[in-house]
Amino acid sequence: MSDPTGSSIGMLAQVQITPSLPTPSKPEPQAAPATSTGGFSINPSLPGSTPTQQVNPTRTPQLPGGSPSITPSLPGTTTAPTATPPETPVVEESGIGFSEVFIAIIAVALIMLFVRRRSGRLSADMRLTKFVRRNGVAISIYLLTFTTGWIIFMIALPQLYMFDFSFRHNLLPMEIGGPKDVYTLKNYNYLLFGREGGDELLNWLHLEVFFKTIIASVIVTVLNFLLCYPLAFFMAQMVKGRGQRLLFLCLLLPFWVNEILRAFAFKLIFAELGLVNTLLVGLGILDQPYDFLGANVALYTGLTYAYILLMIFPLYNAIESLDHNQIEAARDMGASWLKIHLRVVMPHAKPGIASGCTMVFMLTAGALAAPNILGGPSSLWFTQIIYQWYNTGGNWPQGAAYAFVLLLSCIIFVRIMMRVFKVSLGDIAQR
Amino acid sequence: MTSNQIRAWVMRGYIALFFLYLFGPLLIMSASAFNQSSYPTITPWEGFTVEWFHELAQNDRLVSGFVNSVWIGLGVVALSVPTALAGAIMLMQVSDRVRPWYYTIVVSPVLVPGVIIGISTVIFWERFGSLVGLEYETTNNPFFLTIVGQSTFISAYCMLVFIARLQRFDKTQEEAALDLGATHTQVFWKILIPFLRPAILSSIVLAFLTSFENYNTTVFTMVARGTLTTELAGLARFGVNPSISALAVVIMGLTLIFAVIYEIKKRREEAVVEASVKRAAMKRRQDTAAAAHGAA
Repeated sequence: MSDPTGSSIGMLAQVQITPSLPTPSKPEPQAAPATSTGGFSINPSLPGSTPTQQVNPTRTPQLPGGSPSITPSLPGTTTAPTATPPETPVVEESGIGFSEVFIAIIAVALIMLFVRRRSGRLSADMRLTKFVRRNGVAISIYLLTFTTGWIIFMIALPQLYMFDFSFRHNLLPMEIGGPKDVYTLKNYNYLLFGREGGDELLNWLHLEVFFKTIIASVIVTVLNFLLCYPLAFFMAQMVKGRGQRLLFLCLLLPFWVNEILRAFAFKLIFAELGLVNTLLVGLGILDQPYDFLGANVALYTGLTYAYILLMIFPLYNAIESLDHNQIEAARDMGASWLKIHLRVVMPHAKPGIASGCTMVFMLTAGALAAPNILGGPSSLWFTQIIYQWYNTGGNWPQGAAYAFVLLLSCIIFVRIMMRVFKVSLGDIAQR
Repeated sequence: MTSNQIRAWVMRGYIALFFLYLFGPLLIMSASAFNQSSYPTITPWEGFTVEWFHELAQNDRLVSGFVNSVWIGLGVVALSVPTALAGAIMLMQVSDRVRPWYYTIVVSPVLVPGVIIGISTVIFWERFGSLVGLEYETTNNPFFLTIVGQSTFISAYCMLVFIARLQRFDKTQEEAALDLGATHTQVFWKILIPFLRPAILSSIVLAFLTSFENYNTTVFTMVARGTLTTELAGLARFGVNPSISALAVVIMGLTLIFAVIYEIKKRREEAVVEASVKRAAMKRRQDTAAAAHGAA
C-alpha cells in the first residue's frame, strides 16, 4: 500500500532526523531517554509531507511547561489525505468510532449477564442481595466499585481497545469518526509483507527481529534455568537455618538495585574499554577489544541476570516441599545422581519449573530497558520497535498491531507451558 | 578424594561463581563511581575522586524525576492496595463456577508484558476521555496515566499477597462477631483489616518499590515527562558520565542499611518466638509433672 508510513521503513540503520518537525526541534533534554533511537531510528516519515498535517493536538500532548513532548515527531506519518488508498482491505464502509465499539462491548456484557441470569439456578439479583447481606452495604459498594473498575477500565477495555485500534488507520483527531475511520488489515500486513510495492517479498527486517526476540528469550530462559536449578536445589534441600537465610539475603540484595542500574553495570563490564576487554587483551587472549555489546553478549548476560530471582524462588518453593527421604530412598536403591534429579526432583518441581520458566520468558520477551541499554546498535528487540512506532514513528495503530502480536505470542507460550507441564494458570502466576 | 567430596567442591565452586556473577557487576559499577576517569570504568584507574557525587546532586532532571517517582509511587499505593484487597476478597466470595474465570482475568496483568499495558493504557484513555467529554488534560495527564497503567499489574501482585494471607483466615471469627451484634462494617474494620495488617504493609512496600523501578510501562505513560527510572535509562543508554555509578552507590548503600536492619529485626523476633516456645514447653512440662504428682 502506498501509505507514507512505509516510505522509509526499509532502513533501520538510517538516522532520520526529519526536517519537518511540527514542534521546535531544539535539543530537548526531556526527550533524550525516550527518543534515544540513536543509530537505528525507524522514523517512518515522509519528507515531502506538508507540515500543516502534523499538528495533532490529541496525540502530542503539550505540557504546561511548553516543553515539546516526545511524541511530536509525527512528521508526515499521519495519514495524508491521499494516503488511504482504495486498495487497502476495507472491512467497513462507514466509520465505526470508539463510542460504537465501547457501546458494543457494554451491550455484549449486559446480554451475557442477562443470559446467565436466565440460565442460572440462582438469579443474579438474589445473588447480589446475598452478597450485600453478607458484606454490608458500604463494604459491598467498595468491593464492587474497585473490582469492576479494575477489571473493566484497567484490564479488559484497554486490551480490547488496543485490539480494535490495531485495525485502524493512523488518522488525525479530526478525522476520527469520519469517513476515513474504517477498519483495515494494513498494520498486520505491514509486519508480514512490509510496505506495498517494496522490494522484498516479506518484511524480513521486522519478522527477523520478532523471531530473534522469541528465540533469544527461549535461550535466556534455558540458561537461566540451568544456572538457577542447582542453587535452588542446594538451598531447598542441603542447607538449613542461618546459612539458608544468608543465601536468601545475598540473593535478594542485588535486586533492590534498580533494573536500569543493573543493566548499566553490564555495560561497564563489556564496554570497549571495560574490564573484560582490558583483561582479555592484557592477558594476550585477544589482540584488540572485542565488541561484546554489538554481539549482544552483554544483552544476553544482562537479561539472564535481570530475572534470576523470578526463576529461583518458584524453583526453591517447589523443591523445598519434596520430602528429603525420597531422595535418600532413590539413592539407596542405587539411582545415579543424574537420575535422582531427572526422575525424582524435577517431576516433583514441575509447577515451579513451569512458573519460573514462564515468568522469565515473558519478562525477557517483553523487556525494554535492558535492550535499550545493552543492545548493539544494529540489533533490535521487538519491544523496541513497538516503542518506536509509538514514539518516534508516531503511528499508534501500527504500534498497537505489533503489541498485539507480542501479546498473542505470549498467550500462546503460556498455553504451551500449561499444556506441557500440566499446570494451571494459578500455579504459574503464584510467585 | 571420594566422589562425594569432589561433588561438594564442585558445588562450592558453583556457588562462589554464582555470587560472583551476582555481585561482581555491582561492585565494579560502585568502584567506577570513585574513578577520576570521565567515562564510567575501572580500567584504567586514574585516581580516587568524589566529584561524581557532587555532579549527581546537581543533576536537576534526576532530582525532579525522583520527585515524580515518589508521587507516582504514592498514587499507585493509594490505588492498587485497595483494589488488590477488593479483588482478593471478591475471589473468596464469587461462586465456584465463576472463580476460575475471574482468577484468570485478574491475574493476567502479571503475565502481560509491561510494554503492552503501557501502550494500551495510553490508547484507551486518550479515546475514553474524549468519549465521555472530559478535558484532554484530565485523562492524558502523564501522572494519571502512569498511576493507572502501573496499578493494572501492581494490583495483581498485591492481590496475590492478600490471597496468600486470606487463605489462612478463620471465618468463624467473622461469624462470631456478627452473632455478637457487630455490623458488617465493624467486622471489616475490626477483624478482617487487623488480620490482614501484615499483608497490607508488605503490599504497600511491594507496590511502592515496583512502581518506583518500573520502566516498561512508565516510558509509555509518562509521555514527555520522566521518572527517576526513565531518566536513568536515558543516562545509562549514552552512559558517558560516572555520576550514574555514583547514584548506584547511593542506592546500594541504602539497600544494605535496610537489609541489615531487616535482618536484625527478624533475628530479634525469632529470638522472642523461640523464647516463648521454650517457656511454653517448660510450662507444659511443669504442668504435666504437677498433674502426675497430683495423680500420684
